Amino acid sequence: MKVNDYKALFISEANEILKVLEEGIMDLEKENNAACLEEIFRNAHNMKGMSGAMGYSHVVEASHALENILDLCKKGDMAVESSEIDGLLRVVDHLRELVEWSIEGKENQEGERLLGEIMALLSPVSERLIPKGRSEAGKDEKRTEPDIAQINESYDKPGEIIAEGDPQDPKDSNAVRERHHVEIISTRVDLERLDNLMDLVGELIVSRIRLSSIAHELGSKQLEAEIESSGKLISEIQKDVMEARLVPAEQIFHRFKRLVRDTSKELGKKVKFEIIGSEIGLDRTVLDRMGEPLVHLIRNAMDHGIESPEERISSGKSEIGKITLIARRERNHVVVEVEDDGRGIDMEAVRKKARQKSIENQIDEEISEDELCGILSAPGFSTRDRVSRYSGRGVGMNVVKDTIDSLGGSMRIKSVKSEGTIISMYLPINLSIIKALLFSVSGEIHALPIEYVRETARVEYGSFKTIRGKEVYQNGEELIPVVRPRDLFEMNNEKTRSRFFKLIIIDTGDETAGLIVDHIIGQQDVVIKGLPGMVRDISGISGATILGSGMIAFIWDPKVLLQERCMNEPDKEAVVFED
Amino acid sequence: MDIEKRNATESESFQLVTFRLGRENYGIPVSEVKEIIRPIKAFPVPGMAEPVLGVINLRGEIIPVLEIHSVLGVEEDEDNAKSRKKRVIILDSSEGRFGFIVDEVKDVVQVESKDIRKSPEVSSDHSFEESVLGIVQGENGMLICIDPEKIVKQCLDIKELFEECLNV
Repeated sequence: MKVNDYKALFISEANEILKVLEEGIMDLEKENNAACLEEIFRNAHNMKGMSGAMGYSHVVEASHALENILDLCKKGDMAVESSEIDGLLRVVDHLRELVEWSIEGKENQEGERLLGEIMALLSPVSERLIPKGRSEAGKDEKRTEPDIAQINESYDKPGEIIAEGDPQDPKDSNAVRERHHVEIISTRVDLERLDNLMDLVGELIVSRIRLSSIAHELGSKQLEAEIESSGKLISEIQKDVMEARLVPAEQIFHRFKRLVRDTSKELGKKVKFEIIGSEIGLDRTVLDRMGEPLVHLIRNAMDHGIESPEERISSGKSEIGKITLIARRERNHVVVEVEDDGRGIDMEAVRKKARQKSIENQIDEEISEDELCGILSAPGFSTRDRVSRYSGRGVGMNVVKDTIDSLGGSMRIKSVKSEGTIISMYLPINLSIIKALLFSVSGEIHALPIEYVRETARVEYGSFKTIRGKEVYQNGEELIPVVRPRDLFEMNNEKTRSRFFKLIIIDTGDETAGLIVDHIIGQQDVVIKGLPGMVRDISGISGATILGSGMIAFIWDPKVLLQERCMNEPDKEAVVFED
Repeated sequence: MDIEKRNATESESFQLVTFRLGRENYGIPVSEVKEIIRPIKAFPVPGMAEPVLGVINLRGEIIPVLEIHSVLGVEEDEDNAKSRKKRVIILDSSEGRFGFIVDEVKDVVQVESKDIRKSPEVSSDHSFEESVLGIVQGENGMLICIDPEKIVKQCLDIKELFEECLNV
């Protein structure tokens, strides 16, 4: 991303915020309530954050001042006086002008003056608010009078640009705004609208499949060719809509610069922070959810990975540690990595710890990546006081893993002692189209996301062994528990006279199980649709899809299903023991 | 759809789509009805029990379909089971679009809101009174007016109950 792209983003967001601020303040005039106040406060806060990232210090200061006032109102549960609304609106006008000067890189020329005016507008309000919290309400009524006078006074100062026309009429300040009009090159589209487009494209694909089967039946080569070419157009549209739903990683990456800067000061460590691949696009939902895990990981890397400057020098490293945040595309995934060149994870401590907690029964001398990942993100392994003494890693690690799991991604950890650690997160690019394995149970079609399917097998009836009454399938050396659909949902396998079962071996990373199904239909790209109202939020079902035939297939979430089954198991065993 | 409110203001006239469930006649405000279709294949939703029969694919939209007999406690006619008169009434609610199966769609009638009377207490658990708007005397006999929102609420209650049972 180039500086200009940042700017374009900033402009569109800042304009949005200014608009919301203005409307919010006007709403406040109509109905003075906490929700309104909160909304304005949040936006002032966002403005501060955004302009901070751009280095527009005057805007930061101004929005900070505004935010402070609103915070006082919020905390003291006090209303903004209607007489103060004018002043606040003018603050927004000034803020807008300030933003425009800043974008043009001329904030120094006008910045001080505008900032001064904003402060002058805000100070009487804050003066009213601060004592009001401590005194009785009655006394304050008198105080407000001179304040308005003061506002007007500061307003009528010579040289004031905005003081034209009726201050009650916000339209008048439009004239001022227009002078610094900035061309809009990007537009913000409601996510819902994009989702809707995505759905429509999905339906278009389904309808095309139907059309081509009709054309095939009719035997019309001409029609088939025409449908073929329309299919190409549909694919193009699908690609574009998918791309449009993607947001550059930049949108959350940029805020980590500040995090690293502040944390390194706090910890007295020297760190060089590098971002690679911030232009890579991710699904908006994925990106939104990744913010918190990344904060965890970067903090961890700073706190426990990177050594103190003295330690680094004595171990022959550069005094300055390095943390790299990387995004890259890898086939169907976007990989986000946090890499540090710190001390690495202390394997001995992890091993010791794991033995103590018997998280893993057998810990070999070498811990594989997968095992390491599993151990570190086991829930019991993550509380700060227990872990930080050993390796430090593990703080909030299960939170990170949970988030990634829920997004359908996976995580890998690679660490070399005294060389550093890389934590890689494999995330789906798109949440609305997935590759699925279709199968049928009692005549209905269902789907499993392909990443959970390890293999399928044809198993002879009667070849299952049982362990404590539970069926298992022996696959070479491995024993895989067998699951029947009726264990998960109220559905039964078809009665069959065949000697063979169809088995789908599901591997969620944590668990493996063999699911007995009636038929395996095959792999297909499916468009996920959320289930509506009354049937949404069904545990173990992540959505549904409409197949080319018009049939509805439900998409199973094996992670939830197998987990729930396991949770139920101890109960069943307990009953057996009592008997 | 508040009877008290309606009675408090001037009585207004509105239309009801009337339909049959078992041997009882029901009505639902025309304004609530999106469309009426012949039954199509409903795909049972895993993990969902009654009253949700399943979901249908209505021109690419996934819509849940309810078995409303059980919600209202109406017995289904045995010989009715394969009737070709069955229809699905599709409507919108606060919980999204849904449909429910009726044994027969009859007519559209004009009623006055002031004529809608409260239903007498017919069940001990009040489930029936909770799902209906009231009773109105139509030209061809008594009509039970149902409120779609209340039906939805009742279904969600049943779903919740079902889930609680599962968790115990």
